[in-house]
Amino acid sequence: MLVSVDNHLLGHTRTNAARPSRPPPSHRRREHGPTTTMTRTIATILAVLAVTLVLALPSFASPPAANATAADDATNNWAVLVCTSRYWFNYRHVANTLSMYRTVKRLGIPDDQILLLLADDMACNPRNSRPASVINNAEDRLDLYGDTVEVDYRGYEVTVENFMRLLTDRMPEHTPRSKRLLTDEKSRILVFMTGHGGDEFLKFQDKEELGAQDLADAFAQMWEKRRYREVLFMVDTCQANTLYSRISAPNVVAVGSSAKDESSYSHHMDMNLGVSVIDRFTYANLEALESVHLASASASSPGGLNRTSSLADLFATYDPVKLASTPGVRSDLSKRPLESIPILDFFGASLTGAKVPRDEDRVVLEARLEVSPVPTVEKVARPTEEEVGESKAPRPVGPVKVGPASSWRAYLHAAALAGLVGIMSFVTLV
Amino acid sequence: MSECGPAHAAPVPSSPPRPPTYRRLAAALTLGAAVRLVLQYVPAVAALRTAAQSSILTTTPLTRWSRLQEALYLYDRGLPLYDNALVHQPPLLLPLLSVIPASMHPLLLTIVDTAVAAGLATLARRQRELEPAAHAPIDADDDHAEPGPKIQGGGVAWTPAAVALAYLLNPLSILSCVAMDAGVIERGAMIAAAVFASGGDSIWASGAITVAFQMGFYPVALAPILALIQRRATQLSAFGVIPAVIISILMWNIIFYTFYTNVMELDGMAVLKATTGFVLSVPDLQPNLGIFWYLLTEVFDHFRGFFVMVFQLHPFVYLAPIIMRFGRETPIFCLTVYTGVLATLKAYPTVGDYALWLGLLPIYANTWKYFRYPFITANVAVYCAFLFPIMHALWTRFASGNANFFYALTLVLVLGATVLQADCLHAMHVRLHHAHAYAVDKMHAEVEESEEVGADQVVEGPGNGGGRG
Repeated sequence: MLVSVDNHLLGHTRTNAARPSRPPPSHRRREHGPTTTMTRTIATILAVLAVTLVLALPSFASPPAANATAADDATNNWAVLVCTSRYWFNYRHVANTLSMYRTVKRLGIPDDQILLLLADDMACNPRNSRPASVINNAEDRLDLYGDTVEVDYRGYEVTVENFMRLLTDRMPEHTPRSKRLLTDEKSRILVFMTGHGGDEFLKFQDKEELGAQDLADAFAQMWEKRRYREVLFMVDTCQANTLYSRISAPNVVAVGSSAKDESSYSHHMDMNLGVSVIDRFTYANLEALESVHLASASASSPGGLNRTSSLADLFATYDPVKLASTPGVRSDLSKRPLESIPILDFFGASLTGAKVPRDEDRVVLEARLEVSPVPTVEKVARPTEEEVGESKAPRPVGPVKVGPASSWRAYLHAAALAGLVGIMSFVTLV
Repeated sequence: MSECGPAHAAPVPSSPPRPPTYRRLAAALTLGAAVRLVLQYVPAVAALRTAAQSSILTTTPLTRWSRLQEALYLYDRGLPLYDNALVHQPPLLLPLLSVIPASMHPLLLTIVDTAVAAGLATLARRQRELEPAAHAPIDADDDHAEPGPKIQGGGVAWTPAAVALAYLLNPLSILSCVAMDAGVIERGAMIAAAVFASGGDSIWASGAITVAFQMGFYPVALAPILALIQRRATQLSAFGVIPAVIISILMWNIIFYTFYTNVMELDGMAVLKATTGFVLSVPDLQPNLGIFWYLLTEVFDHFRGFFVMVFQLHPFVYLAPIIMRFGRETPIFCLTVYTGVLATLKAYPTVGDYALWLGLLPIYANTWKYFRYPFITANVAVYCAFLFPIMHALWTRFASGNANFFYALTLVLVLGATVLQADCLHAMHVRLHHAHAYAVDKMHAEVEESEEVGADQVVEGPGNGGGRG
């Protein structure tokens, strides 16, 4: 009698009969002739191409051309006002931007839809002899800074990357809404940039440059992403006209302060501050725009603009002699001629009261009192507390009123658990 | 071999076998419980209690008692339990903990810890009958040893009471109990499941392991091992018990979740996400004894899912090989080994997990003489025991060290634990090999003897000694 020693101790001997035999592998694969392989390859390539074409088809469709026939198609106005210069001696660039900010706010663009980018803080600069204020006119007492200025990008946040991201809205998800250009295909955008520039570039913060091609690419992306209906692009720098030379996206009107190899000059200096406080091009624009009253159809000064003036009228006020440079306008991309674009389309809100027609055929009715013979009390069928509570324990909303601790629930559940244990013991015993 | 004639059976005791006395076990349990109660209730050591209860070595975000107290607060007032990111224990514990007054919660944990020790003692005693292969004699001296419940190893005769005492007086388990770690209850459930399984009861075993599974996710890996233990206990021959236990665990989970949704009126999905989902997705990366937190703080978000998946698969890949090698004959050894694997490789380990593993080791004290690296293991244990609190204090309190000091120690701990695991497996393998070799030698010797003696003489096969199948 042999001791039954377990198999695993003896090294897992198995009988060969237990293992199934493998079928011979000779007939597993057919031989493919060279022609069938070629056909197969061509068919695969064609199939891949066909699939790629089908999947890529939507991108070939061009975005629908904006019909600029009705000016009422745009519903909101945005402004991106950028000052790219740092340091005290570039005071005038901050003043330029703040002046435009004040003007567009006055003319109707809401502050939420204005993105103000200031590369430096002049108001609180230690050299500022008028602390906490920024002026654009030496004879004036107007404080551009004040209490209601909302700067969205300040100081070192004004970079080329942030500006490009702002235009194309390629931002991380957590970016606050005040820092994003939340435009859609019915937006009109005023982009005003000022600082130091050159031949097809604009200097940011003395550190980096925005190139004209990059800017053109940004506008092209915006068009592809349907982020605007029309854009007015204004530049007040040296050789500004070169900056818009490469824009190719449709519906962009561009205007610059000086041509290639020309500088843009400052207007005047404030002797107390010791720096120039405004540039000539912006000063000219302000002269024209500040004469516009929303309330009246006439200009405040003769020869000025009013609320129905067009962009052509605005551009006509530029005097190259006074500016000491040649301003340039680019309107080839715009579907509307400049004469038919009101300035309030860009500098104010699109839907001004003037554009909403009066209800002229309004019928005047007399007041009538409807009295029902028998007042009926309507029973509102509301779910009772019990019905709501039975489905699920109601989630407390808002600050939860914490009541006293009650232990009946614990005893109930403990008893239920004990009952469960009892049932399971019964099951195991039986 | 040295005797002639028919082989004797095991030496017949002169008196009928004594019923097992529990006096020594009772003394051990009382001593262990007393130590814990003293440390939990005496006001003089309140500083130790506070330090232990907030230490990251003894508690984790999963098991910290303060979070259970938060859950109790919400539960008593009928507020939603899992709307916060704090509570990660299942609602199963809450009725019981709510009924028992808060001042008696440390007593409850002591009772559970003592029950763990009693369970270890029971396992040690039952292992004697369930795993004869682990006690097969390796030489002639061993053959004639008295088959009492004692296991010789490390110079000590380990009785079940000694096993219980070793666990109870292990400073790691004492710390774990004083720190009010909810893992004490989880380990109690694990050992209860093992005890039930070794008694042949599969329903309560799967119920207990389901409780442990809901508290931390990893005890579910013990399901096949428990099935094998139960199989040895009831001498069922098929490996079909493994699916049966898995189905039982599913059934218990359905029962518990039905209890949560209908009786306790909770959202079952919220419970699942907060308990099992928390352990699986490891969102909380507080430092602890384990190796997950440091690596997961560094991994890029894009790859986090992949890394977490691989880390969570890791403890489970060792299941199949260990079961294939040791499952048939020595499933309690598989349990011992796997407790160690889980302690090392789980997402939120504490010192209590290591304490449980070390408490199971004396059951196999007769393999200790085949350890190859006891010096390394002992040194690593001493290093880690001293350096962990020091490095953590250097990092967080004195700010003169950094996380790498502490992280290096977690690696050292894993290394030492792995060396010990490899040693345990090797030692068991060697012992089984020796036992088998002895059995084969004995068998051959007796075959020769019977041939010498003569063909007519019927030789009673050496069925009583030697390797029992």
